[in-house]
Amino acid sequence: MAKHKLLVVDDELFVRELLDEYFSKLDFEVFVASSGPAALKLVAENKFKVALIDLKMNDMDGIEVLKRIRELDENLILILMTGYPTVESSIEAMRSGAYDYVIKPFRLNELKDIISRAVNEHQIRSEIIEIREKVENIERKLAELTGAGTSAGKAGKVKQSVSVKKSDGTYSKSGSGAKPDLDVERQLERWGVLLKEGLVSPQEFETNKKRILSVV
Amino acid sequence: MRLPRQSRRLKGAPEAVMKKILVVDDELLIRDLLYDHFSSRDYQISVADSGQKALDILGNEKVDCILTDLKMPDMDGLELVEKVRDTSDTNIPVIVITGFPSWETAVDALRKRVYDYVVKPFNINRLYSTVEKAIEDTNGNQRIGEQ
Repeated sequence: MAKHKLLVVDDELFVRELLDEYFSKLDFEVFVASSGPAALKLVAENKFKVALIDLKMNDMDGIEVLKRIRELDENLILILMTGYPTVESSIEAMRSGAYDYVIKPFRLNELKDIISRAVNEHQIRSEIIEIREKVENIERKLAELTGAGTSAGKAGKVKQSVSVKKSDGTYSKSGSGAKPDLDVERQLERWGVLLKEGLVSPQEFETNKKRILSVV
Repeated sequence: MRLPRQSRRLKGAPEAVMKKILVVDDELLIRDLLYDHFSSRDYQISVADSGQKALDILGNEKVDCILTDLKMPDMDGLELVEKVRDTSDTNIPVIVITGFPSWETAVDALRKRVYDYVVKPFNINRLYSTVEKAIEDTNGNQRIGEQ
């Protein structure tokens, strides 16, 4: 697996070296910048996962750097570091998209934990977005198949609308006794879409296919 | 002693267009100040003197914005925000008000997606503008989300 790229922005050489050494050992590919403009150049050229930014720097303060980086990359995890914490700067940092506001001096392992948590949360968020997009895509396909509008619950309703032929010759749908609202072909198509998108297992597909066909 | 007032509405103002604010503060003075200021400006106000009472109100009423004190006995403002995010409308804008500001609570509050962190003593007109903006922004976001 490729190493995550981490950017350290601090005008203090000691801090840059310390963080470079520590995070390089932790399987990060570390880049350092001693100023805001140097950091922006690196962000424009690389895909970073995390940026650690000092608040108080000479040419461009950390909040400004943070805002400019956010404009370049909306997914980058930004952590502001400062030896001079204030309510105002903490609010501004968080509002500008910082994940955290870390006070110097800090313990390196605590910073590592913050970064790990941020990366995990980021990963989960990305997965949620991906799943949401997938669901929307399926909804769209289902809507195309049924020729009607759909909603978030439609995929779930597919299962409910599958009918079972009872011994008395009537149809039962989830115990409601209703007739199927889709013809066999449509139902099979829907289950096929769900199978293709990985939302039902092949066994579930087969079981339901048999049920649908048993009605015919 | 004045009892907490709930959901009082100005005479003549149509309820449908009035936005509702929930004020949560254990200090009667602040509750009264916010009640008087916002209710005289076409807002419907509900007040609660504790986090639990605020949650009870939220269980029964639709609220457009919450103004909550940070430091309260039993349940502090941030705990209330957490519970609101878990159990109620997750997008409802919350403005935290505190007389004991710290960067720790500010970071914590913003991480819990509060709309603003206001320090006491505050300028009431500025707070009013913040509330209006919070409601406007939230409605805007919801509209985008609904599309």
